[in-house]
Amino acid sequence: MTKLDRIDPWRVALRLPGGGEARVYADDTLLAAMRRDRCLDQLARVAALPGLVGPAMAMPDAHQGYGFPIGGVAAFDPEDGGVVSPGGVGFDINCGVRLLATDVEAGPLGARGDGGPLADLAEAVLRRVPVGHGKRRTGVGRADLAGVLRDGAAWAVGRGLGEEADLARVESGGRLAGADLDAVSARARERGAGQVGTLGGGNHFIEVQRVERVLDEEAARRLGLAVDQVVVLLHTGSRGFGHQVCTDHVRELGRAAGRLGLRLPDRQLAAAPLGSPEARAYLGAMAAAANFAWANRQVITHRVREALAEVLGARARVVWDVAHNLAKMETHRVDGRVRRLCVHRKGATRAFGPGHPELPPELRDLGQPVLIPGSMGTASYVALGTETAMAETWGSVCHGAGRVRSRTAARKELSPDGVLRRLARAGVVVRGGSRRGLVEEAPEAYKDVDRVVAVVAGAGLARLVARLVPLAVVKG
Amino acid sequence: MAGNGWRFLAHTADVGIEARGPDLRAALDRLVAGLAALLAGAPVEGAEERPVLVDARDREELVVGLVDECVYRLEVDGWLATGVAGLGAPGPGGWPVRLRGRPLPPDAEGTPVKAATWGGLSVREEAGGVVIAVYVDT
Repeated sequence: MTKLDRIDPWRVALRLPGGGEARVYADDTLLAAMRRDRCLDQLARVAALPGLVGPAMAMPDAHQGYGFPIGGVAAFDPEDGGVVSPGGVGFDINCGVRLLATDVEAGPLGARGDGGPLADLAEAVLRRVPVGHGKRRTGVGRADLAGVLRDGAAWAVGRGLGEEADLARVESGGRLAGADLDAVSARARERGAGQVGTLGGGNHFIEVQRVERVLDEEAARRLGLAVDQVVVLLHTGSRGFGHQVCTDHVRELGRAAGRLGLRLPDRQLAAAPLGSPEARAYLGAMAAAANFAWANRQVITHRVREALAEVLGARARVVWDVAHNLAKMETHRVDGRVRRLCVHRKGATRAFGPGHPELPPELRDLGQPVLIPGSMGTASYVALGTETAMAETWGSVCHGAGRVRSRTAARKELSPDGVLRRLARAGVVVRGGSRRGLVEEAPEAYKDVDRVVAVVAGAGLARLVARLVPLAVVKG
Repeated sequence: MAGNGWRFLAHTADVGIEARGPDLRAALDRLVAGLAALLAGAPVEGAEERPVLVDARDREELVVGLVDECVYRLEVDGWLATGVAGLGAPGPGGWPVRLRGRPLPPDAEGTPVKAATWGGLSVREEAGGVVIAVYVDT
């Protein structure tokens, strides 16, 4: 039996049957939501994987996923039998969020809602960025795929789809080393061809927002953010390419579990010891998928810039780009000793603290920017990673608000017209997506992002910089 | 939503499909019908048949592999599988399946699916047939 012990208003210890402990970041309301699904059971199973260092952790937006919970963080030591698990990364490899800051203010744009310039902007974006099922014409085809998989965002910038300065504002420079194209199936390539520059569906979006409130003047100034500024937040990942990479490697590692000496409580937790050929193959394919996702967000950035220039005469620069679903080899200090660990973040965001050598020089003393989107029509936050995050969570925080209501329940309990009316009353334009998707992604289906953010700020894992509110949403 | 022999199961972030039939082929047929309703936003019938070989070593792998095959066909060809017309005997190359389907209706407003998952997967015998439960990542 597991047991929950509250440590402080933001931290809870999940005591495990074998005597170990997992860590949950949540207030009482968020913890109650986690206890309503299998999130904490899944966390306990992660804690039983070999070579775990420190506790398995659930962020305040955590909920039930597959294998790992969404909002899960765990690190494994290759020197101690540690593993890499595709289920600890998820299907949408390097799903992530990018924030663009424009040089225009919302106030002078005048009318909000349908018929105003923001509606024109949403439509201009929608004309350039395909949304929903499958593949569309994007100008990036099969012949480009090898470059995309090897070089990520740099491939797009090299093709004139972005600026060199963009790359410094992307985690890992928008390119994960070690992409192994031989570890990628023909089926993954087929699914990926034609999908670079597409948004996809589900919870993916492009949202035009305004900076509603600055919470840290100096940090906001350094990030180039000011009250009433128009910004654009976009959320997408590695599309069908990444989904297929995960599917392929979960199947193969599930079949190999016996040979690899692993007893799996859940085949979605299929894993391989770090350093094994199977682990190397997965990490090589995962890096290719991560690069696909960065290229995808870079191409979409270019299309959004075109729309901004056409409709508002505005320019935009990249503030930051965070990855949500990755397993990365990172250097961390554990009990005074420097160790190389494979840190899994599934539905969680890297949040390195001040001074980290991987941060660009101009931001190094601040800490890594962190982007925490709320649900459609609610607020989003810009924050910074902290030393506490480095000490407690391998430099990680939450990735969003986190679902609290199933898609089935949302469809049963909410109406598309009601959701649209509420958004219209708030002056938010919605374009793209389906009426069904609108209900499934309604704000009522998610936790309160202000509450989630209050936990990571209260626990000292993040320092809040600005609160953003939506003006127009292009739905996937 | 529910249809003839299938129903959706709740999951915090995603969707499960439970399907039942008098034998494995029939249960798989209902599973694919439920998946089609999710992908298209409403139940859909199709008549065009396509043979596929699912890389599967047991019934659980067959369920996951079949759902992934349907997701793949939709994504690369725009072809929506709506049922299972035939199921052969498994061999060294995989499990032969004859899918039934049609092009995705142009006005379809469904939920895109990333993949089938192993979480909560079950294939069990019950009085009167086979019951399958599988959750898909959306």
